[in-house]
Amino acid sequence: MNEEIVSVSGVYFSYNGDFVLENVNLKVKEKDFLMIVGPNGGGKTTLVKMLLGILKPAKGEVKVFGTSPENVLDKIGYVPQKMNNVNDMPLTVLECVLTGLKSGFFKIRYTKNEIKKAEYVLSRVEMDKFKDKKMSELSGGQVQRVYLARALISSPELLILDEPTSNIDPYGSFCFFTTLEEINREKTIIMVTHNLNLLATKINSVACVNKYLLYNDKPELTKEMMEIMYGIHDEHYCSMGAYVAEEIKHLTKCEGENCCHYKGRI
Amino acid sequence: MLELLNYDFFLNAVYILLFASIVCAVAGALIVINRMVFLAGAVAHAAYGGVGLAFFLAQPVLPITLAFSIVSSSAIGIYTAKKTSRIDSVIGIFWALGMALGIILIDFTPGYKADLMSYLFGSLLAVSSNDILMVVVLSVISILFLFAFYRQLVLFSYDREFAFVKGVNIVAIHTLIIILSAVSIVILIKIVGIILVIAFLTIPQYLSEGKTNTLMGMILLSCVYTICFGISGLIFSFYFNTTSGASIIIIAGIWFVVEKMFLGIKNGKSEKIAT
Repeated sequence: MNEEIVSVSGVYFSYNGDFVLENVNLKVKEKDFLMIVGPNGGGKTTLVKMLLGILKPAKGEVKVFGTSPENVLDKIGYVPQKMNNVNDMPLTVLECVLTGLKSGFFKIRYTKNEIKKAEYVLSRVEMDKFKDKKMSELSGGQVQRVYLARALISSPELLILDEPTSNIDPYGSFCFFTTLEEINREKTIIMVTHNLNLLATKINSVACVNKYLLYNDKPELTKEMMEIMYGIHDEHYCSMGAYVAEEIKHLTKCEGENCCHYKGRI
Repeated sequence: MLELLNYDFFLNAVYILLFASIVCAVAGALIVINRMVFLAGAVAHAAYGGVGLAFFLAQPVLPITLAFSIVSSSAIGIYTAKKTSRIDSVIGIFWALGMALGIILIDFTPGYKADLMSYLFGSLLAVSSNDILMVVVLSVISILFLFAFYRQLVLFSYDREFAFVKGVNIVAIHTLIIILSAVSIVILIKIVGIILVIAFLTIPQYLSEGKTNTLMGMILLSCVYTICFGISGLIFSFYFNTTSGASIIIIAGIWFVVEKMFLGIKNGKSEKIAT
């Protein structure tokens, strides 16, 4: 039986007295690929920030690897949502990935081993040929891939992604998810997304958050989830994700192992 | 021009510029990449409170202003580290409050305040050996700070949220950057004065930012720019009998415009070729 990685029990959280999360319960097991969906302002990012120890619940308990998140941050890889931190700061792709390692004091130069590791994770996300480019010169999709490499360099056991494909076109998202699927063979993944396109193909469980949390241990949105998110009851929409994924594959005429495996597409 | 080297006041000015350029390059680069220019402006103007306090207590200005600025910048740093809304308004309040405090304290100080203007506009040609010693010590502290926290500074400056997740104490780093800014500002008060300090902390750094690939490269290039602007401004002020601080800033400003225009023409040409 797979080990329990994340346990959220009876969690409440409020901003200025208004509860954005109420009685939230969630369990994530080893090698799970959980997708968290929900409307804007529903509390998805708040939940992620609690899993990272950035926010503390007003009531209830959040445990990651059986303890408080801040005790196990070295086991967690994080890919943030926002793109506005991409500034003109002089920073190469390689150095950005290297910042994912433990910082330490009086360390300016990176060791050969550290650089080798960074180059390896960059090759995993197919960004190795961009390693000397500045971060400010990359496209949105490329930045997200570099962030994924930055999260992977510390060899985390749990990967948390907050809307990683919000700035990427549908095919780019598809490729990004394909990479994640490969990573999921070794690591547990929790991902917040609005992208329902690949719902039926990549993930193995869904949580819908809108103040309360609904969980389904199958890669499908339930009727209740659809009602919370879009106010609709039609079961047809639940399989919409799988349909769109197939459409993208068809349109781009690439299938199987070679799909998405050419560098710099996104 | 070599006859300038026979003057002790000129040599002292060059020495202080060389060491100040290190402090300013480190602090200025961190200010620019973290978009803290307005915050640094508030620290600079709040430093006038320290000048006023030194006058009021009849104590040496530099150490008192330094202590005052470290305390006030720590308060600004801790208060602004985690705030996101209306932060500019709060910084504006600190800006005006420090300046007003300085003015009131000077009002309460009896006697003639002849050299008050030198703190507003700098007096690079009147630096003492004690001033130089202080700047040397502070430049060593800046280098140690940079070396000790280099990786944290890069991570913090690029992505604060991720830095937090990687265990970086973001409040401490944010506050240390502001304290370092305060220290460099107090040094610059002697060189260019409170009013012009921001230009010295931003022009060399802004020019360096686009030309380098690393924070360290940006700092080193800023250091070179600062020394060049400083010495050129000093020579200009000597021959044209102008205020040294303002001359340095004018030289930096003119170079900034020339460089940007030159780059603009280059871009224009390449665009034409492309079409």
